[in-house]
Amino acid sequence: MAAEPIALRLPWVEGNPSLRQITDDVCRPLATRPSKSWMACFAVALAALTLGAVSAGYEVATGIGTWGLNKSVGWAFDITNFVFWIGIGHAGTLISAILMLFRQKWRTSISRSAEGMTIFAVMCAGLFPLLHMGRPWFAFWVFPYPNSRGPLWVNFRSPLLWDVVAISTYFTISFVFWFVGMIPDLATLRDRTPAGWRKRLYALLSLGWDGSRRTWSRYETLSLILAGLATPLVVSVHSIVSMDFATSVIPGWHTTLFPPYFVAGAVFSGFGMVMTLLILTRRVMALERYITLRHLEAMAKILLVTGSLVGFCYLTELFLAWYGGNPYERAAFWNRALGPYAWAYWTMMTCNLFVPQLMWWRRLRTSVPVLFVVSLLVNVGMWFERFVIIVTSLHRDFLPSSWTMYKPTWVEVGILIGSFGLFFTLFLLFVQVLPIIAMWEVKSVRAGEAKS
Amino acid sequence: MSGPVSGQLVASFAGETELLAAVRTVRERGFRVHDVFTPYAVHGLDEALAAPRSRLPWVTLAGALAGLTAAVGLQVWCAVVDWPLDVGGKPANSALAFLPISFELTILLGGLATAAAFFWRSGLGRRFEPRLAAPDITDDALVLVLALDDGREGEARELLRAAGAREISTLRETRETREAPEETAA
Repeated sequence: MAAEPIALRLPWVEGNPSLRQITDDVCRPLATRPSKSWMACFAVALAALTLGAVSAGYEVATGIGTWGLNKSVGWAFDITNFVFWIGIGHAGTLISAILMLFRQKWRTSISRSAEGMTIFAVMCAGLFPLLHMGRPWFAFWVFPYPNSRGPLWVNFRSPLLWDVVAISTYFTISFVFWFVGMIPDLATLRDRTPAGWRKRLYALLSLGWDGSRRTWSRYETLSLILAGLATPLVVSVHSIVSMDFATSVIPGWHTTLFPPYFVAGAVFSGFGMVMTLLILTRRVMALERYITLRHLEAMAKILLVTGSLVGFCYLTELFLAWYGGNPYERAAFWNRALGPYAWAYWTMMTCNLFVPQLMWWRRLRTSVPVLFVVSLLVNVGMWFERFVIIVTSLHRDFLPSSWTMYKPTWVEVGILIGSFGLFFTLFLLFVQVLPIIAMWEVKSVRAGEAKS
Repeated sequence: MSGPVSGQLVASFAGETELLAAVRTVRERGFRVHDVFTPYAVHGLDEALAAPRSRLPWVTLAGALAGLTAAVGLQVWCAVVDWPLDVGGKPANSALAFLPISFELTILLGGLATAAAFFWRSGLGRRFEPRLAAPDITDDALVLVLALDDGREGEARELLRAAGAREISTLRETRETREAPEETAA
């Protein structure tokens, strides 16, 4: 038994809770009626979701003309929101898969909620291409199936089709990972919930888990394999998303920098969202002992690293636009920084490059209010990054006669608000019904800390 | 299962250090560990029991290869054999462009096959109210179930108590009594 030098460091779980205490702390909020603050949040989320449903319904019934798109700016808000939500999801996979492979113990308290966030964010993302189809009931046309038109197959060389496959795979694997990770905890809930519909639900979902050594052994192997598969998957997903742009010939998009740039941005934005959610959740669900200031600080450091990476990509792009000598590329970046959408560009620069630099100071990294504001700014900044990349590259076409401006209509704004409504509705239901902290993983970390 | 006097001894422990020590001692004294039930994955248990390694990675490999084959086959057949459509003057067999989908389907089938094999091998989803060895194993009890093949019950109890078991009970190997321990000693 190699005793790790963990005794020299602060424990990741505060106050030395016993195993039973951990079960009680995590399960208690699930057995009680939702609190007033939860109800208030849920009402707001549902209202936003309703607005989104109305807007989407109006768009589908009337047509894509209800959006502010035009001949030059052929996609804008929808694809911005799509890339934004997909990016949010990436932090969940990073925390649960990559940090698992690196045996980072601190991830155990936050992995479950981050994975849940991934699932819900990918659902929100999927909504946008679906709605942009205009006739979402024909969405199955994107899959290669024998049809009466030849059969006419989908174009396997198109990044948009790669996207379909990548996102479906990502969602499926993330969902399996999330569900499998929850089975032991669902069994814990099954065994402590009094008879009733909740107990039956937990019994059904825990699939008869009995904690046997043989099952645990296979379970650990499965988790490791899924983590190993999810890690290259998460890198591939956002790389493929970036190829939607990079394989085109539009100045500002046609660059080999895009895949790593998008992956770094995705992790950055995802950690921003995890931070926002966890600062709220630990407070509302009284889980400060498990999601400690140290966890928040560790996430702040990742924000600093990924934010700096993203900033480095911004500067590289600018430098190469000038150094590359391509007049169209140069014009596109000149237009981004100084053109009519300069306000969006500088919002992006401020939130993503400058704000994370505050995390160099320990005092700021360990202040919850500061972290909360920073995490919100990161979310805003990363949304604007996608808006800037997409709209400013399109609105000034090669021919000045095609130059135009893009402004979203209320329908597009409504659908964006609706996607936040969907996300928070699902997340709030999740924290009320399912264990948001991986009890069995925290217990194993606790046992390891107690031993040394 | 085995022998006329067969039964099981169920010993509950509070921590993994005691559990692991108990597992080693009883195995050294020639007892057979039927199973161990824990609220979390106890590392070192497989080694202490000299358990064979899981063969799940082979399922992953098979699933991944099936996914890769299916993806390459589908894309080449659709885009090269069945209807070679000219898109932007690119060659029909533009193999590099088939890479992303091949990669994704490799991962997808590899992952799903592993998960399915796990569910099947662990018998999850067959019975929704499992007979737990002790009520607390999903909470804070680490339970060692010892097979009493040759009836050395007294010796086994003593070993387990010395190793720090906080509760020991006997299960007789008949279908009716398996669910209820008949005797409990502190």
